[in-house]
Amino acid sequence: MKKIPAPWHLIIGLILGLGLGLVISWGIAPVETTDAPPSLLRSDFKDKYRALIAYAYASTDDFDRAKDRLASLNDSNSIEALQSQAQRALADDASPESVDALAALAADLEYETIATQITATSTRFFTQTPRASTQTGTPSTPSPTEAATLTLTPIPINTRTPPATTEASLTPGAPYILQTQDEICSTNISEGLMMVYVSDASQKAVSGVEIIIEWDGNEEHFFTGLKPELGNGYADFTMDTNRSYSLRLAAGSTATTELSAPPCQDDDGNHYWGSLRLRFQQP
Amino acid sequence: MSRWIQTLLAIALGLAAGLFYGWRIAPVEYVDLAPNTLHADYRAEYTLMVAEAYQNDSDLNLAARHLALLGSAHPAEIIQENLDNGNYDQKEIRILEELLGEIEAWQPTLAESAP
Repeated sequence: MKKIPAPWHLIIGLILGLGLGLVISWGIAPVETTDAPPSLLRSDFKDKYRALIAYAYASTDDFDRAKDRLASLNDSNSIEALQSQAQRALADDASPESVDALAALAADLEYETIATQITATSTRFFTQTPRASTQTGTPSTPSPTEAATLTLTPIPINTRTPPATTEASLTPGAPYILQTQDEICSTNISEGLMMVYVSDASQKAVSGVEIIIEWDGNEEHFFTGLKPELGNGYADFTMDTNRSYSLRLAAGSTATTELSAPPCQDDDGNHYWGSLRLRFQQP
Repeated sequence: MSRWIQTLLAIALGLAAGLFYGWRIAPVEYVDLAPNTLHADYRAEYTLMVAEAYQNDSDLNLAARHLALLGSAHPAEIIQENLDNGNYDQKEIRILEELLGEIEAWQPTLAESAP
């Protein structure tokens, strides 16, 4: 029987050609990228891209577009990325405008997240069994669509003492000052919700801050950090829409008076009660 | 056919297969890219963001610095290129043209060197 010799010259030629082709296509003349997404940018260019998104947002107030643009960077957490970039910019003595733009966009994103979470849990606040409350009076007339859930007297949400496991990081120092007080008209937020944010001088959220709210000779105490999913420096209180409140921080702050739920109107002309957002910060 | 010709043909075939694989099937993947490699749509969006930011700060030097990341051409050329190719609405075209009008005469200022 005749033995057929293996075509070694063909096999070696093919391997040589294949190797040469890979060296050329991967090493010598690789494909040039001209259609990259922003997520593939080098980190310093990503920072520039992100800063530009914030600048543009400061100019246009187009929140949805800013979110879409941020999404193209594929950050695992856009809020943290913006906040950490703002802190780096602050440390690098960057212009106040750039720091403000980054911080503002981060704050608005954070606020949206919180508002969404409040919406998701707001029903719980109104449907739990009412307990003895120092609040008296009749709640405002609910809108027809919410009549079912608003028939209970709204109760203060955070009236318990923070548990021992809460990471209270109350920082001693200068008294807090009220940075901003915003009236918010959004049907996504429970009516008459007073949202309080407390941060220290380095803009870090502070948990365990005791907040004292007073109305008509009554007093209620609540604390930041009891809803960590909404931020360590966050606390809220459901206002009776017929009442006016004054609020101060036990750690020291000026009293903020005449606080009441702002009247709002939706697109169909229906009236509802809006929310208040107070931001306290140490100077 | 001689063995040498067969070998050369085999090398050519292997080379073609190697190039096809390295350029089309599994091309080099890049990370840490510069903005000048962005897809045309993102370049257009980037240019628009520069124009939007300029509406707020009116800082022509800053706008030019931002645009310089997209290439070495004059910033006006970069804006014009994106105006020609980008998919903008009327409002966006207006603010881009506004920046274009301002930046056409812009020249980079050289920092004075210390004596």
